[in-house]
Amino acid sequence: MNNVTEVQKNNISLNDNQQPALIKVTGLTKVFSGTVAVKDVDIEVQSGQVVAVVGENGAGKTTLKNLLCGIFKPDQGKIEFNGKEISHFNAAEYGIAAVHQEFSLFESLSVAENICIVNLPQRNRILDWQKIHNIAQKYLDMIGADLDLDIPIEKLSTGEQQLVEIAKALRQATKLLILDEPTTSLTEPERNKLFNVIRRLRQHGLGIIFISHFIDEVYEIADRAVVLRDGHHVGGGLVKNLPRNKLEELIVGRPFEERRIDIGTIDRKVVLKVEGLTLSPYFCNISFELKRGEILGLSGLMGAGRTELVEAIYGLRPSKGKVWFYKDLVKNRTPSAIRNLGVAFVPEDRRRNGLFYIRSLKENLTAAAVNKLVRRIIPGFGFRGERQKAIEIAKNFRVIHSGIDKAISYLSGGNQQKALLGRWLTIKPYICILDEPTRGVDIGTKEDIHALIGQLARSGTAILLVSSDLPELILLSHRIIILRKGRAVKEFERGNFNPRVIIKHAASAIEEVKSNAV
Amino acid sequence: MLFDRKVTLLKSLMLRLRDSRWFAVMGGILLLGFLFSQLSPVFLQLRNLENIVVQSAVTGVMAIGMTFVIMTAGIDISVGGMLYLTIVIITEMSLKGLGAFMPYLIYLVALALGAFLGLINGLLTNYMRINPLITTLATLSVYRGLALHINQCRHTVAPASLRFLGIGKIIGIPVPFIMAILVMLIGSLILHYTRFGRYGLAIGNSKRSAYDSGLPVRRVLITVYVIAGFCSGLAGLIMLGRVGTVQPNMGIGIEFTVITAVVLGGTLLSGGRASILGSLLGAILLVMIDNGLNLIHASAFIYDIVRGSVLVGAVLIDRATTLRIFKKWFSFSSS
Repeated sequence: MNNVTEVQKNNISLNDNQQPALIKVTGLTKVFSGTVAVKDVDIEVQSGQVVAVVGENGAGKTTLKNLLCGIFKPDQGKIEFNGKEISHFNAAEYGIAAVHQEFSLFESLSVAENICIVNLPQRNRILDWQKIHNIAQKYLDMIGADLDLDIPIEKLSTGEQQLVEIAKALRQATKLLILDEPTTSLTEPERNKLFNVIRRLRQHGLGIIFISHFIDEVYEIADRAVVLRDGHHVGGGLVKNLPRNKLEELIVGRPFEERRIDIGTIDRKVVLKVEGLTLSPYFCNISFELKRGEILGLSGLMGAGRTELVEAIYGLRPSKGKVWFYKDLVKNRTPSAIRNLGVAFVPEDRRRNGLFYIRSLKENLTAAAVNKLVRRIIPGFGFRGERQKAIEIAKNFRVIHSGIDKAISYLSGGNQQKALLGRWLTIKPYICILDEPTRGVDIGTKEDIHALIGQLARSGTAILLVSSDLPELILLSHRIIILRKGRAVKEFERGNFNPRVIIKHAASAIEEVKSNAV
Repeated sequence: MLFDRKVTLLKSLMLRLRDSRWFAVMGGILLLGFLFSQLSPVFLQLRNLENIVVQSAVTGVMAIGMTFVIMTAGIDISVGGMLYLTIVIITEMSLKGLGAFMPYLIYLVALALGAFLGLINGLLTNYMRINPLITTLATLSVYRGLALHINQCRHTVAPASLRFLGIGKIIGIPVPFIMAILVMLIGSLILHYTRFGRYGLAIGNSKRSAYDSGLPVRRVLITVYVIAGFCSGLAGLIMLGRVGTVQPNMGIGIEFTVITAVVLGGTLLSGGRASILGSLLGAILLVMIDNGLNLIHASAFIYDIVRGSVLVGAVLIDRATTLRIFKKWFSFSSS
């Protein structure tokens, strides 16, 4: 239970290379029905070391994680833990735990229950609720999260859920913690907090495998890096001996350059006008205008109300206030009515809200266009040309797939995201609401998506872009509105973007917010 | 510190109340009770109320067992079959003289038999990977067929020693009622204060997450069917005690009533949320409807219509108003 103190006892100094590896992996290979997921990967992690596993989406990072957690069995290669070879193991027994990218939380159970769910503390076979609360509080404190222990998970935002997920894994991870893309749903301050937690855990002697596709994070936190590309182990080494451009080249497989994106100019015509939109407790009195061809960025911390705001505009949440689409006041907003006005909405949580997860890629791609674009042989029955249309969309949006009829769940996260964008963008929307379009997506895909967004704006579509990735907002937006605790606190025009200033406004102290509210 | 602890306890209690749908069922019971008491003078008489409570014990106990299955997103259609098979076997056994030298042994046999039949369901769904609906639909047929085969459609009369659980009284309180309350208390204890209960809810929420977290998914999923079987066995004892004879139509269609009671009580069919008290109250509500309609001499055909409508109505009312009102009352927790 008390893992930190336990680890402290055999605290191992950081730079001692004589130490045997905590976990040593050699020649690890896993093949899924003919497709190589991971091939010949070697990793060595010592206690008190952070090893970053980097690579694009579909490079095999998540498969590697599952192999290390004992969820999958490797086809070849061996895993040595503290010098002993292990196979067919229960990760928890060895003190290995992972923060999965897809959350492993239980929605209707409380925060406390979720953190303690594995071997729930009990006394005489009766659950010890006091202890459950104490333990949960301890791990939340450890990562500096302030959450109500009794609230069910379903009431938390994605970012808050991520924190619970980390706290849950920490309770298990007495030796090795694997973090699979832990920062994708976190905002800047939360990410910094998480990194502080990681540093603290490292000092306690925990081995950490940090799976990421953010190069900045590798340099910020990792001691060593392992680069995967298409399942192959292509390079790596000590981070301090690894120049940045070399690492980028290893990841992408080609030289990498700084980019600018042509986002076009703004038309004068207002396509969306929001006035006094309020939904307590999420956001209050939000007003803005969106013009044709404009990209409006919404920035803010987790819980600032960005997602709730765009969901309210799209009619997914009831709210007070007025919304005009093309000079028409739309009163009863429902998603289908708004969609018929030519508005596309790409939600934050693609797995839960966006994709038809067990249906084929074809159906997922043509879901939005199926009424308009597909010809029917007999009116009302069957679709003709759906397949061609789907293949065309997949090609245009660079969705890499092994068959258009396979379920979309077989695609990697980045390709799923591209498919989802492809679905909505082919109907040529007038207004496009994108909520975290590049969340959990690798660099290459991100570039593709950015280019697509730029292209879309140039063609005259107005875009409302919600993103926690500040460089992305700065790269793409004409204008950025900063939300803080549900209020629009500041607005910047392109040219005046300064990351530091934006973060300062988004994350100002609570007292200031209070005085503003009065 | 102490004060803080009190506040957290109070708050978690409030939260639990807010999410408890048995409030709505209780409201339904009171409302219908008022209605029937206006329509029939007999309704509120002690004997009739006792009747309702005793009658609802059978479905109530079964519904509590079913709650565990449904909270893991499973379903057990075979409860009626298990009930009937238990009834037939213990009657045969006691008539063959097995129960004579130790009458209470037969109770244990009935419970063990129910649990064993449930275990078969659990093993089939978990090891053969058959969908629970199909598995239990099949076993329903098998169990009932087996029982009819043993019984050969005879109207067997149960020995008097087996009737205590059905018609007995302890200090004036009917035994079936005591049994139902006891099962409800134990069930609630298991749900809220054991690992098994929490794991069951967790599995109902997300089976994949449960696997990922390394919870003993299979063991829990088998156990819930054993519990459902055990409760069916107990319900069988109560029913046999009340009726006194084995009749071929016993337990036919009872799975509908049982599942309705569970859903009425606020347990999600998709799993992840459960209320034991709600299931018992749901069973009482359903029996009360039958009883009331009987008292006002309603047409026999109208029963099912009313039952179905109540189910839809209860779920609707619950979703629309209670949640909103309760949210207003306890809004401090969501801010």
